[in-house]
Amino acid sequence: MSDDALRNKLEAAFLLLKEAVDMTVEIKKKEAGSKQATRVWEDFLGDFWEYIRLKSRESGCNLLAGVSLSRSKHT
Amino acid sequence: MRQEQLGDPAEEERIKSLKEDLKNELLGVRAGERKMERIPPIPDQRTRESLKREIIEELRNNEQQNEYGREWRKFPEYDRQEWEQLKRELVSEMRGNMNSGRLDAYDRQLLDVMRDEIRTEMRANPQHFYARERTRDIMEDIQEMGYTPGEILRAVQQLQKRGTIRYRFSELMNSREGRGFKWGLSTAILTLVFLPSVAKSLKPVTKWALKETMEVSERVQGIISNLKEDVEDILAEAQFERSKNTIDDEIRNEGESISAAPDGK
Repeated sequence: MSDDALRNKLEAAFLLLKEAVDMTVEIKKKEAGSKQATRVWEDFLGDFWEYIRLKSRESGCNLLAGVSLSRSKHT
Repeated sequence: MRQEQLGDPAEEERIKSLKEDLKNELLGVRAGERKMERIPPIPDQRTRESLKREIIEELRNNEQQNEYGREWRKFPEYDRQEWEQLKRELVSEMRGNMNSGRLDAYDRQLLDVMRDEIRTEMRANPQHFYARERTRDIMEDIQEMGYTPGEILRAVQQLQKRGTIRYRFSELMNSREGRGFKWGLSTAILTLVFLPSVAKSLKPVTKWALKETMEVSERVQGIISNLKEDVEDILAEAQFERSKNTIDDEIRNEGESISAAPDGK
């Protein structure tokens, strides 16, 4: 496994996420005030976060160590 | 005032007990890192003042290159590690006082004097009231959300180190006024972190910084109003750092529970 493979995998995931974001916009437009889509996102982000925690614990390696929120936002 | 207080056996006992608690807390946290080879001398007032000066000076210049500080050489009874340890203890004590609200009468008096002086300045220059109030409101909001001053400080330092704040205020930061503003904001935060323990030492610095902030406030009020966005960054950063620390704790606990298991599994 290499950094390139990881980058490719995340790029593919990002395309799917973009589609999900676009879908969310459509849902929100149609059903203003609906909390359903929000709930789906919360579940997704919660699961994602939990998985990072789980794998960090299992591997003994904090997967978020060195990750900078501000750098992610502004680069 | 201080002498009288120290002469009071009950007060002395209270301070001793507080220091012991803080020391135990600190040593407890660091127990896994290293063992103290010997117990360093109990810091006297002169030592404490020197340490405070050193901490303030380091914060003021945002210097991190000199881990052991410049002043320790003046105190041959301490080695570098002891000096650094004492410094950590003092920082912890300052933050402890602030966080727990345990202010002694002396600190309260200093705080009151300082407050009065600032109020007088504000009355004399009402047009400068905005910047100070705005900063105070923002910091109070953040603290109400459950973040400690220490966490806010670290988040601000992270953002400043990475240039995030500078990124947003790039033009302003390159100007003399901008530097004054940035310093003023940092100091306002530091004041919240360290008051009242270093109120006396910080007073001239704080007054100067507030003055700087006030001088630029009229010119940059529009930008100050955008502070909310920066505060959100600070909060997000603090929250993210806290989450990362949580994972570190979990990994550590996991490791400890494995090594504590009878069969090592």
